[in-house]
Amino acid sequence: MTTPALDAAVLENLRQLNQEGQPDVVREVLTVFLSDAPRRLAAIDDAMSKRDAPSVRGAAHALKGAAGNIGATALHDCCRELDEAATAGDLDAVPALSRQAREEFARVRAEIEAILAAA
Amino acid sequence: MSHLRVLVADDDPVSRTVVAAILRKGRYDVTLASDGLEAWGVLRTPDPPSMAVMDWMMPGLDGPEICRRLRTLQTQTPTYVILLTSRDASADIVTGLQAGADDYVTKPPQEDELLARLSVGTRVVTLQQALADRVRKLEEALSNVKQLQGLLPICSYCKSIRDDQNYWRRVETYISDHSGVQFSHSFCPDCYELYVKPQLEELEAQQQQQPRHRSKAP
Repeated sequence: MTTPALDAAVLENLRQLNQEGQPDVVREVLTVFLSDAPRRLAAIDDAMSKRDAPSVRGAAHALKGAAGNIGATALHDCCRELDEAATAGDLDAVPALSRQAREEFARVRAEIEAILAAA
Repeated sequence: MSHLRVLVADDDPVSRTVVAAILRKGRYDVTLASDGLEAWGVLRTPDPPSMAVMDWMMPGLDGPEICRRLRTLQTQTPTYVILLTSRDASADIVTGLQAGADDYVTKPPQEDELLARLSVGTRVVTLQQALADRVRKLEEALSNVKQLQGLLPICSYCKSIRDDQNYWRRVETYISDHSGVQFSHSFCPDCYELYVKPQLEELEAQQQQQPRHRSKAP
């Protein structure tokens, strides 16, 4: 059995932020993530094609933060490696890491869609 | 007590949403900014938020640069800044604190930790505001204090004093205006002998010389 893409404890913490009469925080956060993450992944590949290490770093750093906020641990860790590689100027490591990030994002997205559908 | 306003500045919308949700649960009013320039725009207004939770790396101006700029503002109530930073970046933390951030929180922010640090910030901000109010009241009181000071031009004969507007004023008037003092006029013994007593004696002599007036018959 594969580990869930999202950390249940993190999602529970987000659930604790709910307030009566306010929109559901988990739904809001996951929806924002789904709409934002694809462009970060695209930005990584775009910057890579231009060999623009700082832009790779910026996009990876942002996606890392977003993934951390929703408990997508594997995606977070992959982005951290991308961040470190780009910071060190090691662009050769980027394509493989970017593929890994996309695969992990696919798992994350599936799980998010299941959560949003169930609510 | 009115709710404190907090600026949330982060270019990552997911992070902005989570931090804003934590702050709202903590009963803070939230203002959002999605990059450094926008954040700086909010912080330099005449009535900025009391506190700010700011991402470290943002396009435009980054967190440390905003902190540096904040330190240049002349205010007795500066915004209390908490930087959001990655877990494994202690050198960045030092840089941030040296640039003028008040505290930091590692990402992703935990609700209880962030709210606890904002409580600390609330104490600091409340104290600063109380101090600024007290200073203002003292300055007002000081400007109303009446004082005799400086070198006063005084007439050697009549003792009139020339005031700041170049008018010659009777010495009693001048002293009254510049202090809480009031005068009650009388005579000193020497002046009584010199001036008053002769006048009284002359008045008495005049009255003695004049015939008594009879009232005219109707």
